[in-house]
Amino acid sequence: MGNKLLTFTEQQLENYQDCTFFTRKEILREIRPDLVPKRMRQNEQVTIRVPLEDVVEKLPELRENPFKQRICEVFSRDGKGNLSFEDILDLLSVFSEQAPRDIKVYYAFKIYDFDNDRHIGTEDLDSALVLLMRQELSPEDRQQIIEKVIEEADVDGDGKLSFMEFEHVITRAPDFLSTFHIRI
Amino acid sequence: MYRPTHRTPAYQPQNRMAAYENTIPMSERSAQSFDYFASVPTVSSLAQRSRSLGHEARSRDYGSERPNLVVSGMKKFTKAYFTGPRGNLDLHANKIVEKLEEDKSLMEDTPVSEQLRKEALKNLPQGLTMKRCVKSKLTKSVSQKSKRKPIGFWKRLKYSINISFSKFVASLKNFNYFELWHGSLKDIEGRFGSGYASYFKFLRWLFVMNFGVALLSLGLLVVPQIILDTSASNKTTNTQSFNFRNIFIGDGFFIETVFYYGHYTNQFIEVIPHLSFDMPASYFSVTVILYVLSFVVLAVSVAESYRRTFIETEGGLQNVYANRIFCGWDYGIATKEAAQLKSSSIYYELKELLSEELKDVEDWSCLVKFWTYTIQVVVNILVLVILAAVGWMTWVLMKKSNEGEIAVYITALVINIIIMVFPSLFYYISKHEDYKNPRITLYITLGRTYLLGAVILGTILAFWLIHAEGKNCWETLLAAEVYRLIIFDFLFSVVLSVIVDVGYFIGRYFLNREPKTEFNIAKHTLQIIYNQGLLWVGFLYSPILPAVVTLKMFIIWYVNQGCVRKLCRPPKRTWRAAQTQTWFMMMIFVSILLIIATHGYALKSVRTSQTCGPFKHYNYTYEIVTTHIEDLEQDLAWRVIMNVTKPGGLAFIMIALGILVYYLREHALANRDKVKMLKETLVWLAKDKKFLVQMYNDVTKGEINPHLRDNRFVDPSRILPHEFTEDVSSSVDEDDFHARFKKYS
Repeated sequence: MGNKLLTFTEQQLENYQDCTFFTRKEILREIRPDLVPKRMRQNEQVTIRVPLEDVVEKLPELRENPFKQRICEVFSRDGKGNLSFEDILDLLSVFSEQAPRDIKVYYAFKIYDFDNDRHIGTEDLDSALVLLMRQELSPEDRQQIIEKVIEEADVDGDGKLSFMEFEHVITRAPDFLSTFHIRI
Repeated sequence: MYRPTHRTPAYQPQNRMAAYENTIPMSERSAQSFDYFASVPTVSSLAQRSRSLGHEARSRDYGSERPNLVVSGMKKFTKAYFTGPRGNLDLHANKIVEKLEEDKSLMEDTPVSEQLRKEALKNLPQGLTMKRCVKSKLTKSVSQKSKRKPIGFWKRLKYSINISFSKFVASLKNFNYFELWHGSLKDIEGRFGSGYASYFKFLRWLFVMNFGVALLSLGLLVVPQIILDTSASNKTTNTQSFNFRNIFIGDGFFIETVFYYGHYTNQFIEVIPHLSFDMPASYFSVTVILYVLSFVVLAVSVAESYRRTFIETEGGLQNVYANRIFCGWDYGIATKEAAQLKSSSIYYELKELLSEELKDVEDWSCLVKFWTYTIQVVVNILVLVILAAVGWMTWVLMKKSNEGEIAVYITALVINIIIMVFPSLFYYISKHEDYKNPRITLYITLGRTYLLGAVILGTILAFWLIHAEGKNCWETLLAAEVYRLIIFDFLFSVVLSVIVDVGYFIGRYFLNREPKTEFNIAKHTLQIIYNQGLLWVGFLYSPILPAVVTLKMFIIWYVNQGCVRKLCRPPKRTWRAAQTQTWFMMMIFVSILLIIATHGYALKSVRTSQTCGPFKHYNYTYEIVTTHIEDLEQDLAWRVIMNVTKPGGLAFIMIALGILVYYLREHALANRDKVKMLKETLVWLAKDKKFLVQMYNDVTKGEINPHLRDNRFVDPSRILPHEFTEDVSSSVDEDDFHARFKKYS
């Protein structure tokens, strides 16, 4: 494998340690052959990008995740889902145990906002439900659930959830921190 | 006549590369999309917006940046294509750095502000590449702007202490125990979900704590005693012979070893000349300090857990639907089977919720309600009676166990059978009690099982403390009893239940039913809590007990892990781990509190045995403190403490604490009302906004699109990189707006 060429300098490791929520040991654990793109050499952490299908294969948690497409899009620099090594590191850092609640809520909002309009509207909720259920929920059921969600969470009555409303809902959920978590 | 031309929005210029075509241009977003990042529109902000609408596209220099290469790992075809330019990164990073520079405290050249910068960087919701860019720019600008003032000696000292402390904390974090058994925990989490994993995390935490206690007590108590025993000057031989069953019963041979309190000497150990080790003082202080440390660690964890799951979330689960959708998926699941189960469990939960909506609110007739309540009350009384009976039987057994060998076996057997059987009994009883909520059923069963364990431990302690007078070396006998219980519990709950589980598995397999069952998290956690309670009861009189319990937990880990992997399937219903974790921690905390209180009473008011142990020349154990500190009994501080711990003083303290709790609770309730009021204000503000936009629309007759996304207020650090457009970097001036608006005035 071509990864024998890959070493990280002390400075780079320190940079990573400062900018993510990982400790040094955890970062070194990240640099395992199945996560690092094959042709990556020195100083190409940023430029070599791995397309979505390959990323999803590398991380088993992402493979089974119904929102994998969306997650990759959010964390990629071009918005299309192609992740560089640093983007993958960033993804794992946000999902780690040490990341604070605010960062997780922010990224969760971005993930669930499928059309990127800064609000979680009825279409976004619909897509989320379709992805979440492998068994089909009938459209009427989906409609009803979506109405209930909007009714519960919408404060200003515009029919969709803005970031504040989403944050308000999520901070009251005791399980959010434990479910929004990938162990590396 | 001046007419504003409808320019195509500047942010969809033709000379952009393909990657940005999927950004939704501003004008096509609905005018009604309100952005809470913006404030209520004022005239000048409207001016800025409309100016930005007409802003020309700035041509950009893309040539200098190297485009990104996307490499596909698939062998079939190596496709490489280019993604968007990196010019955007610089601009975006500059914007963020500008924003960060506004905060003066971040820009100083001191180590403290370096820490602040690191924290600000970590909390920046941007990608790693962006963060590194920002970091390098920040450090450059800081080093440019720094005015190197000579700092005084004390400041330098303070800074160096700060830095070394935070480095120490960071290195501790590097070394934290999260590494222990990490691989197997990840595997279980991936295959079975975070419910089972929470049990294993709890087990691991307790294991580490017990390991620490075991190390300290072995090192500071057992080893010196062993040194003394083996030294030439003090050859004592064990008067009892070793018998295999002594391992299980714990008496006989073991009574005169370092296992129990009775063997510890009350003298100075001076094997190496001029290096004396005061055994009684060491015994007393090590045990007391370890108890206090465990108490503090537990108290801190309970408080943190309570705060996280109850206070920050207001204790309520009102948004059931939203929670199921947004927090329903467990992101740690890594196998297809678990994912399938998870999605079907979410499906069933949602379906259940929907069907509950359809049903009318249960209007039970009075008779049904009355009947249910009576049943619940009767069952609770019945359970209390059962618990009292268990206590009485334990008492009788303890009395009888001094009268013979078989009796000793019988006691331990009976107690362990009770502990194994009764929880399942409680579980079945509570299923028939028709509580409204399955969570309440769970909590009630947990509470009853916990009370069972508490009653048993309590009677054992009470028996020994009351009958201490007549016995020779009662501490050793009590410790032997506890040791016996631990070993028998190991045999029953680990060995026997594994055999039973495997038997069930094979049986169901041959009966052609689904062989894999669910892992009963509640039962196993309560088992560990009972174990821990036993440890704390016995530790004061047997310094080797933590090592035994640590070993037992080690074995339990591997046995349970094997069981879960081979014999169990993922849970059908989601196990709400967070709240039950808090309950478990609270139970453990209450245990240690009660046990410490009882031991405190024993140290103070129960006479030590005069023939054995490190305190045999004292009447009461606490006297070691008073005789070591001279004139303590005349000392003011001692007298104050003695008076405060009298019943009157304690009652006063309790009342004061009660008043404090009441005050805090009223404070919390007032805050809740304030939150409600503020929510209503928000709704009214949104309505105001709609009204104003409507008015604006009417006035300008729809010709200027009041897109309310105020770029001045958009936080550049909160935009995704591929959304970063020129508007954020554009500037606006008011004259143009006024020029255009003049025609309407």
